[in-house]
Amino acid sequence: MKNKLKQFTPYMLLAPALIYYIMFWIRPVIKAVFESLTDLEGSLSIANYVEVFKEPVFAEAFGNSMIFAIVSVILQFVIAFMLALLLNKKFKGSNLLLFVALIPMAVPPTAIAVLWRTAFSSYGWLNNMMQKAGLIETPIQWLTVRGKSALSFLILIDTWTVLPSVMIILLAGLQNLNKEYEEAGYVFGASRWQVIKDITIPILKPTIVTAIILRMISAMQVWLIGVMMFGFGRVPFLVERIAYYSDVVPLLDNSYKMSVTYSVVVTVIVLVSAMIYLKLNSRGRKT
Amino acid sequence: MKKLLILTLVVLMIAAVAFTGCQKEEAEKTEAPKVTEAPTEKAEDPTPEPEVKIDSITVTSGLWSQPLEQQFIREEVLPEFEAATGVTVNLEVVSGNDILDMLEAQKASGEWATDVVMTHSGDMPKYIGFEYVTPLNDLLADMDITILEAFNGSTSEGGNTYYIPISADVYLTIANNKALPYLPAGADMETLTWEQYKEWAIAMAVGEGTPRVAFPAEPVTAVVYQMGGIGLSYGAGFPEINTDGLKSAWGLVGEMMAADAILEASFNYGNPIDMMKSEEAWLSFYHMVPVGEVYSSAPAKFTIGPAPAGPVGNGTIAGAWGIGITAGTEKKSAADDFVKFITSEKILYKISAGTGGFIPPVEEVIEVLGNEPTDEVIKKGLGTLNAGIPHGVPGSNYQDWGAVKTVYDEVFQKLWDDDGVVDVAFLDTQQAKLEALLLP
Repeated sequence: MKNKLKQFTPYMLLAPALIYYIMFWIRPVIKAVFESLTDLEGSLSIANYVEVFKEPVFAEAFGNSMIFAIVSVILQFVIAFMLALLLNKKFKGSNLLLFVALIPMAVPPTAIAVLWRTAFSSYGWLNNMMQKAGLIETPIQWLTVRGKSALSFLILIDTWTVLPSVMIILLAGLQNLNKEYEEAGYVFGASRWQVIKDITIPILKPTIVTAIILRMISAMQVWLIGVMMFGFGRVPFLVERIAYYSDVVPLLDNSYKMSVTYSVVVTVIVLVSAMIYLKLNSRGRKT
Repeated sequence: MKKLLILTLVVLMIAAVAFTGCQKEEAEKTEAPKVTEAPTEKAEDPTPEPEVKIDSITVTSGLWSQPLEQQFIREEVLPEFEAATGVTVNLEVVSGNDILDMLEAQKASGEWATDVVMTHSGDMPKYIGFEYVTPLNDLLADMDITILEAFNGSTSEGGNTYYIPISADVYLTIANNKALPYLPAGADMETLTWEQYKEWAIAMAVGEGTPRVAFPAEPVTAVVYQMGGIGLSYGAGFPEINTDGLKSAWGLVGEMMAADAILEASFNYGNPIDMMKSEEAWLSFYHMVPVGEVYSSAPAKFTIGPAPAGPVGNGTIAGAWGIGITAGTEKKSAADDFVKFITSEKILYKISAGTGGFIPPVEEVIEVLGNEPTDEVIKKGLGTLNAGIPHGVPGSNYQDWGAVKTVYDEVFQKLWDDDGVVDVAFLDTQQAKLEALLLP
């Protein structure tokens, strides 16, 4: 009897988590997919997808989301990796630098948007500082930029915000790295760059893959900073459309259907992007 | 045994899924039913219920959404009621759509958590139609107040009054005194016309070498109301896009855009407060509360006036917030007391002045207005409301008011992109969009 009870234990322990997962994750996801595939009368239909893809703003939102994800992930990885390498070298003040570098991670997205909106407004502190430094005579209208310039702004703000989280993952990887491999490289006459390229990065690859996947997923989900800086629809993103239909125009006949359809589209894009990245990564490992 | 365990787990999972599906079906929300008579709540019970001491009531409000307003109400107003009645007020400030959802759920479940509700005049017909609020006729008969009639269309239905308006608002003009030298000859703020407003804006842009008009155009905020006000002055209805009145309004704004008289930064603001206070903008036509905030911050620096006039008068979008009692409240007596308290002369004046200068829509309160900056704003607002062409927000006629705002935003943005040239074909397209949003 005792033995049998022992056999049940793992399942019993798993059950609460499994039930929770089914109730609060799998079920809503299935419901969302189902809703996206039915029309307003409840019949099976792809009309919602047609509607989403036909929206004039969809192409722009898709383009912006992709550009944002690719550019911001690359930019953030490069800067975060450089910072992690720097902070991995113990030097006087490195702990203070680490502390300062981590501050943006503690600031919530809404506060970040307020901070940067204050900076970029006509009479914000950025224009003020530049005027005092004699760099400009009249305030620059930063927030009136549109299109790709506005997108670049958002990429820079996002980079400032999430850099610490990427850096901390890479730094953790670097700190677990066996120093002997790098030392061996130096003993055989490798330069610093060669050591990083041929020893550090390959060993760190699993950490890098994790960091990039996590960033890619959250980069595809960006919207709040864009809305808070420029307002709805000025720099459209795919997830922003979900918020638009659920918060700005929630009472339209098709608002709910549109928001769940956008949710499914975003999920599929994120899944496909992650799979492509993993595939490319594994191909790179084989060659 | 292992199989039995797996089977048990599977059954558990299925049960979990099935039970999570056991929610109450959402109430049909297709069309607001017409109210023909007062709900007959608790009418059947012949035995009088014993008096139960009421400790607290819950007030759900879309009004006082600004943190400073809320702080004022919580610290300066509610304690007076609590001290007088011993009833604690739980004030919940939530957005309009959320209140509708909350009351829908409360009605469906029969568990009324909200006792008093405060909603915007544009939404009142929905609350009345869905029978979320109860008539206040008996309460009103017991009260000695005279309510402005401007909002009767929203507050009453079928001979019953469901809401008492507690604050009304219109659009006003505000100018930095630095702008006054540029006023066109013969013009003054009290009798300003839209043509003079345009000439004034252009004169400032030419004289200062930079635009000085704030026309807040953050998406889904207030373009609809500013354009609506101008359109009403030119004889349009509201909301409209391509009628003659609105064409004149778009043309007027387009001329200001073409002359580089409107600040581009307007697109990033939902109100003119920051632009006016920083003196980046010198002139604006906007909702009286932000205007009041700017004016009260430095009354010597600003001048306020009514909404400018067009050929048919001073058009303005007017709104009101009203207080009502939920249909299913079990704390009716305390809710009655709260409504009486809020609409009393002293408290209504205190709230109107303390929350930025709304118009108190009760005659007795208007009579006690003084000369404080907020009183000045209220007087200007009242003048516009009484002598102008106020038009309410017919939000309940449309599927979604946010979508209506977006239609206006798109026209404004196109007008800007086209350097102020009015594209009539585009106006027609947008008018069609607007009409498609109308509820049957």
